Amino acid sequence: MSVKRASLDFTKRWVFASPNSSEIVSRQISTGGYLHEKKKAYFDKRWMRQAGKPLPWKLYKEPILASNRRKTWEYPVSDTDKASWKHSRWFDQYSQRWIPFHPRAQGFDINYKRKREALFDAENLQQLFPLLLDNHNYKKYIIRPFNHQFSTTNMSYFYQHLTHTKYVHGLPYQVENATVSKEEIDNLERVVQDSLLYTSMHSDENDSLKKHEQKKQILTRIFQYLVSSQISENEFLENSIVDYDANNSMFWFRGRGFLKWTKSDDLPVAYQSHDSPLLQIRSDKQLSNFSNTAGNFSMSGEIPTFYTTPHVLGVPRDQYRNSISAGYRMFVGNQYVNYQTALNDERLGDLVPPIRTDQPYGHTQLHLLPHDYSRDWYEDGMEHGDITNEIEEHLKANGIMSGWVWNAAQAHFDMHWMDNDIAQPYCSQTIVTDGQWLSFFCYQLNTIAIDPDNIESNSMRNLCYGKTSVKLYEISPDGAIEVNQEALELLMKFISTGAARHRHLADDSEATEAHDLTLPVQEPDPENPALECQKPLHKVELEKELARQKEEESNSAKQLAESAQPEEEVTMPKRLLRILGSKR
Amino acid sequence: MNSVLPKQHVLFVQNSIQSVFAKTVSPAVIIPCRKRVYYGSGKHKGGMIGRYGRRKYPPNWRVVNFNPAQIPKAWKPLDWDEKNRIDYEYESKLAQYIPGYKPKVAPHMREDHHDEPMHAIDNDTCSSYGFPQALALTKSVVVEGGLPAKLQELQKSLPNPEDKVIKIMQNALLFDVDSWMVDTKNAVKRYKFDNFRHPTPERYCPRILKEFVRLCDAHICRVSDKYHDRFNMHNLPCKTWFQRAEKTSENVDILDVLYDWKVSINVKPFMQLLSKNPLSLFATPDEVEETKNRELVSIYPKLLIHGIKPTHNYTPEHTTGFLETWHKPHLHTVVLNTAGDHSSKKTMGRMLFHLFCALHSRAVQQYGETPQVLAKPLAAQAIASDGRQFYAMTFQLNTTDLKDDTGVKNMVWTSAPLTDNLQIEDQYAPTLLFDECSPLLSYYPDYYHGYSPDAFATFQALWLNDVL
Repeated sequence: MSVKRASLDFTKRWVFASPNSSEIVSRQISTGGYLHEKKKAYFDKRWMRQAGKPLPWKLYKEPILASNRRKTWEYPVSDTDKASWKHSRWFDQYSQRWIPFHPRAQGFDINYKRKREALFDAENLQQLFPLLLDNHNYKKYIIRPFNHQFSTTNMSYFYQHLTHTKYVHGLPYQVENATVSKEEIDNLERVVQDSLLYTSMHSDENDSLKKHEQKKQILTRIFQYLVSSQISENEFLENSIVDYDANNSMFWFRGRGFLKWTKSDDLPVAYQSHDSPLLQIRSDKQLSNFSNTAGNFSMSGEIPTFYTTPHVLGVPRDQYRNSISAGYRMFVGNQYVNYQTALNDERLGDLVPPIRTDQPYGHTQLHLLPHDYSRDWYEDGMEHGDITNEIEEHLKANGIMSGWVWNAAQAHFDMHWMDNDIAQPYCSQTIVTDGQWLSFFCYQLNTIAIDPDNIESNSMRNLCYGKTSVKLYEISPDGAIEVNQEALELLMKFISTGAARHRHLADDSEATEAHDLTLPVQEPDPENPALECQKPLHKVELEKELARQKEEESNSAKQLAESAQPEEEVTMPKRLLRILGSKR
Repeated sequence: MNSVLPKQHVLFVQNSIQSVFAKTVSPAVIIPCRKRVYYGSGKHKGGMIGRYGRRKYPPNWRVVNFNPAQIPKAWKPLDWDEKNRIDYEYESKLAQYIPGYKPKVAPHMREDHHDEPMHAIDNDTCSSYGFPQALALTKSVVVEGGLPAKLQELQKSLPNPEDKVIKIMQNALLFDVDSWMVDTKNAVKRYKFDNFRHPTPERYCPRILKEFVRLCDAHICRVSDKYHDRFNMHNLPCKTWFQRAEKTSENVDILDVLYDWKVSINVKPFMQLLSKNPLSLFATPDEVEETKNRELVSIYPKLLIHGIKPTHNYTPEHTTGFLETWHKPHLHTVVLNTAGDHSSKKTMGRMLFHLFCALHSRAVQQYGETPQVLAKPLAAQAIASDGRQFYAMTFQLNTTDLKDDTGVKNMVWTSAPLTDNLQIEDQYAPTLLFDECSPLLSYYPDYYHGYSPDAFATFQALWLNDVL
């Protein structure tokens, strides 16, 4: 009696591509990843249904071991990566789709520290970012770096809270004390003069977009001159690359709050920010610290905290793809497609590893404020009252957020995340401008572990040094252009950060510490912690100035009163007094 | 996959009668209908496709046939002309009674109307006529032997930082993220984000050119202090017009065909390098005299103005784009972004028109409108690139007298080798910066191949000409 048995053709499990698979794959690529055109998979055979099951070790020991053997084409991309241990994904013939071999995310939850330990198993960015970013498919707050429609005052305090940043008025020691020669300044002034002269000839005051384009041209020209003139002086610029119209993004958690009715109400709140600088210079070397991380300055100081939901501040909320990017691709070489082509060509041995960019560290970025921004808009008008005090706040907030986004994205590109904090701080510089007014910021990223699980045991604060509203030029009614020497000096100092002649400044830790202690720090008012009650430095100074003026006025009035002869008292009837009393 | 599809019995609507005679029917004719791509027709059809379950709209609009009835493109409703006819009398009446109303005026009634037509060459159209026609129209002859000897020496003598050029190339083509593709507003689909899209020439070409300029400027700053004698300008408009006549034996007297035309050129180069001092000339006066003996390129049987549209509404003017008080008026180099051009012939034509326009407007400002042989010729250079192909050209304007084909002619030098037969397409071989550069190159360790250092060497030689 013959027993009918299903033929178990397990060899199919190991065949990655059949002869006509090249056709299938090429069709996949050309349709841009549409997978729904495929035929439905019918597993009507027993061996088909069992194809996905793990193979018994006894029978299939040798093929399993063979598949685990490392291939020549699998190399680590950087020093921090481990080598991948097997194919990243394989093509399933039956369901006709790619099946990835990412680290198993069983029980993975990005919201809890103990449930996201699988992140440590990631070997490279291609495995880390899907785990880190694609597992939070809920709404998040979208933070704009420059937001002149922010609903309340003191925006920079709020952004300090979001990025856990200590804001310092003034510039760091190594930038402040950098030396700039007179000749360099004069040459830069000539470039600025020339470009401004040209635009003053072709200006149309009513067309803001045209003016915006001209501002772009002026600034790119100035920066191209700055970079090309300083290349021989500064080794950081020697191998630098300038990115135009880049897009930086950052996704992070801060504070706890409500996420969804079906979830517990103390989950970490997600934030996403997209930043688009006009141009950014990146280099092959990392800038040295602006302040000592070991010293007290990076670990002390109070950061404002707000327990209200950002909803009430008018921050929009949306649900879409989370992304982290520093404006460039970290490494290049499409592993999946290249592997498939090499497989089809039977040239797996010739397959090359991905390459990594040589310029991963930021040096300076330049932000041009949007075309509808104007300082006059803040003045008293039909739309709102006088909010000129908020100009500084908005600029400071922009400096903080841009610095955070760029530096934190760089840190993530180096395989760091909230549970795997950075060891060496990331430093870069930001210049925010509307064409005429320049604001200078230096950001030092000391920590990215600022999510609610890690923040309590974290004593580090990020640092942002800033100097706002320096006028670049002034055009008098005659048409003569006056360029501000201070702005030129600052521009030159920023671009020459890291030069060999300033090495001694960066290495002098004692002087740096002493310099930091002299700078005023923006801290919240402990008695009135609400956002509206804060008083930034410029408001305090303005109040003092007003009080001084008032005092002077009253003093002069007193003196006048003393010097003048006393008036004779007029006696009037009570009724008349009652009528005139309000006017007197 | 279509070839593998099984034979089907009743599939068609239109061909059902024919299928009676043909026993086996293969789907050779595909009936255009929306359902081929529209998956979500029923409430429960389509299943879980995409993020939002059942799909409401077809996923790929390129595949949808919006015109199943094959209605021709030129069709319009019968009353279209009647409805869209402008009543100019009524317009003038409206203007009479409504304050601030701008009436539509008939073309022949406008202020800039002239009886004599002008053949207008635009920034968009200047590449559509080709190099031979541009040569004939501007009365120029090509000097054989490639670029001038001075530039060829510079190409060899200047240091070529190859590793930096390769870094620039890699950063523009491999590591660059197009900000247009990044999802910042919940607008880009997930598959677009995941799949690698090769950066477009519109993105990487200006980036490569700007970085090349930066490299060259760094060299100038290092070597001399002449950086401030020059000024780099983007998108500066430039306008000129001239009279051209064709008097050759091939002309036949046909009724209503003129051989005397007004031609205007109106261009906007991507980059213009202006300098304080004029560029030194490429040809000696003797060589200029020798051009009298050379003949112009013939594009017979085409007319010189073939394809250039005449207009009666125009304002004849010569502008260089800036005021006369500007202290760096001389043209040094024009850099063009020719990402849209599809043949070398057209790119070369575009370069010549740009150079001629810029120099002719300057010559008219110096010597007046009367056509003449210039006492001091003007010279300029041009570089055109789409990020991969690089062309170089130098031009010397010897005469503005274009009413006659004889006499002194203008001179052109090109980096691309030339042959006698000008009718062949794509005979000008550009210098390639690279052959291929893409993350999809599986077998090249730096993801590019065919890199040639000549492209940057040529760029540098032109940019640094007359500086060092």
